[in-house]
Amino acid sequence: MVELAHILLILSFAFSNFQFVSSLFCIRTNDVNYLKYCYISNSVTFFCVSISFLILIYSFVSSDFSVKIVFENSHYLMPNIYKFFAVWGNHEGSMFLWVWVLNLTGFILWIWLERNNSDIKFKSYVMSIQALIYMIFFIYLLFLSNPFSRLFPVPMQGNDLNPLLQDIGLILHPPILYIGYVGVSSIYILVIASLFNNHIDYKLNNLIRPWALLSWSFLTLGIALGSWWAYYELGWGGFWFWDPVENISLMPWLILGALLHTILLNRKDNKFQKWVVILSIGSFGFSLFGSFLVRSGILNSIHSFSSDPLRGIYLMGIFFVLIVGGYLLYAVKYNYIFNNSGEKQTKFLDKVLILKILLILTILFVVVIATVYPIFLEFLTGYKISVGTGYFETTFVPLSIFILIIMGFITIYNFKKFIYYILIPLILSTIYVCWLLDVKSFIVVCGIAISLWVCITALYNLKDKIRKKSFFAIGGLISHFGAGVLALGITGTTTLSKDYIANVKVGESKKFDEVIVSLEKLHTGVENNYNFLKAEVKVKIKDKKYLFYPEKRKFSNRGMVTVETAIKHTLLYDVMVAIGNIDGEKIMIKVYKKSMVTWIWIGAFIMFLGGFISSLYRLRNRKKQ
Amino acid sequence: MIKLNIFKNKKVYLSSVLISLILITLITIFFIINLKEYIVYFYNPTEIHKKEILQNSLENNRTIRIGGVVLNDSVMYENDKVYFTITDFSKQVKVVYSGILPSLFREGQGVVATGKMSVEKCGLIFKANEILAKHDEQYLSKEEYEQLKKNYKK
Repeated sequence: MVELAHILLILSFAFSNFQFVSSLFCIRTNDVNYLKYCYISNSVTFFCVSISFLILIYSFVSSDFSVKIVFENSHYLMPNIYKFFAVWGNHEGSMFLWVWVLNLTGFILWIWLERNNSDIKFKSYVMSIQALIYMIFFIYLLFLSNPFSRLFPVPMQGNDLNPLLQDIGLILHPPILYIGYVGVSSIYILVIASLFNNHIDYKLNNLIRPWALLSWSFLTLGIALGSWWAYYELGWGGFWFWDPVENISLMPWLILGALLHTILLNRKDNKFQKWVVILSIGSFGFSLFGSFLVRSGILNSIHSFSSDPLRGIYLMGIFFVLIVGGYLLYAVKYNYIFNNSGEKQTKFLDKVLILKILLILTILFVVVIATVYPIFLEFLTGYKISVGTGYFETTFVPLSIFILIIMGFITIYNFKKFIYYILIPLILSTIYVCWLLDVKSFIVVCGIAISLWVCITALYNLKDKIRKKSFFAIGGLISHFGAGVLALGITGTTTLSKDYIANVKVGESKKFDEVIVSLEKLHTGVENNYNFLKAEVKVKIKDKKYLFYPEKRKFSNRGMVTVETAIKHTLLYDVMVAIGNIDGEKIMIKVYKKSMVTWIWIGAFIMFLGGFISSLYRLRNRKKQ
Repeated sequence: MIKLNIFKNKKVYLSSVLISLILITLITIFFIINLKEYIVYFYNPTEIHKKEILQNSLENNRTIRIGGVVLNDSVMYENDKVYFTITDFSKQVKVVYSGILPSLFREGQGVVATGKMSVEKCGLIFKANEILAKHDEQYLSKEEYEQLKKNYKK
């Protein structure tokens, strides 16, 4: 079976070669038949890769330990659902998932283009660049990270998947993040194809916009899911650690945000077409750069991935060829970009938009420096450093606050309307939220007010747009509303959270200012592939009582201990209880109260929804034209 | 009001490019200077035992990070404090921490501790204010494990 999958993978590599060659023929002859060959080979490639991926999944589910990555990451006793998703819990499998997503988006891309675009030459350029990217990644998969390596003699039992990864986070986080990362490649393909085609004007904006929205929204969701996973599974209690691996995922997200706003800036007259091209190539650049850095192992991170210098070098090579090549092409074809000379004056709101784009790019710059500087320093002097949270608190945070303030600028010239619809609701809601959360410090009040300012202005604009029936702008406003909610959540979590540690015996309780913690019962038992110790803990906050059942598990096959934190979500705060050190009869009970943390995920999800709705709307809208 | 056709003049164009380049350099320098204030040096136990590094971090009371593996049978609990030893299988550092250990923390686990070195009655000790457990796609592969073991025996 696995050999069949391997052969299918090689076959799809061959077909992507075929696609490349026939697209070149099509460029030369302008003959539609060659384009049809491209489409056929693209579909066959997608089909082969899908079947091959399914076979790999099957070998995981059926515990075929003769396959190396199955042996390394699976186990007979593992629950079936995790056997299925363990496919992407390792490097080879996750790269395969990456390639499959690449093929999926490529497949959708040509069907979509065929319906919306009649320029044969442009389409054949798209096909050839797509085939080139396919080939590059197939080579990577086949020669540098082959998921189908066999083991002989066949082991009887697998190594088990890292217990941390046996979680719903693993099921959701990688595929969604990959859709975001890989979706960016479509933008790159479209931009480079139109550069080759010597024709870049406002139409390009409409072409790349749905893809930019799609990948931006999936990146948002993927990053939020990763942060949520770390938040409740890793038990560190935080949602963001300013770790290099985390920051890297922010880079394509930020540049896509800048790109989306630049496209918006171009809606009337194309003054900033060049920016669109530069940012599009750059966004794919950051997506590749990120995967190179994560996979090369040169980062000094707490989230480490298995790394291999050769893989890192290859990815670095891809990065340089595609991105430097892309910018060189931009330089060569500079004169074919139709930039409006811009005789008209720039409106006030457009100036605000430019300021916003520049601010997003500055934030990007801040993140890039913090990621790249330690690498250079280590390379030059041998010192290993990491950048402390303080750096981000003094640069990233003020810049984002500035952006949040600007986000609320809207077209209200009527002073009365501004007071009634914005100012009064803002003051009232700020007072209400502060009363709800017991906020005493002035700075926190300011933070909450700024977040609510974003929400309220977005809502007002939304109402306005719905009344005018201009639905195309709704997605962006929903995302802005989500950003406000997200900011509210972050403000609350970082300033109002508290933790308590109680060292108690069974039956004892301990009182903190507003919280009473008591340990009721303890019992032990055996599950599928681990032993567990379960505690029953009662926590009383103000007048509300909650019961928690935190667990400590010991896995039989690796002897590893994990802590299952018990969580209660309420809208105002999350309470998490974990078992700490056990010292004779006394057990350390850790209680974390995280205010407003749910709003971070709710906000991120609203942002995702806004982007996703907007991208679907625009993908469909193209069909009608 | 901004008019973009000012760039039609070549001199203006060149000088605007120059000015923006200078601005970007200044901003970069500003950010890096800011970054330097918040740099946290990262050492392994062998490096921290070198004289200059140790003296530097003791005298300046610097916040540093130490990375390594938690030594087997070294974790001790006393009141709300945890004592353990971080090792890179040649040198060791004693660490004290009072707070919430990450759920992945255990003996033989790779950890990163942030804190300050200090001299107490019992000798040199690292006072940590944050402990992060390293998480990994896979735990140590067999070869790595074997090599670490060999290293340890030496």
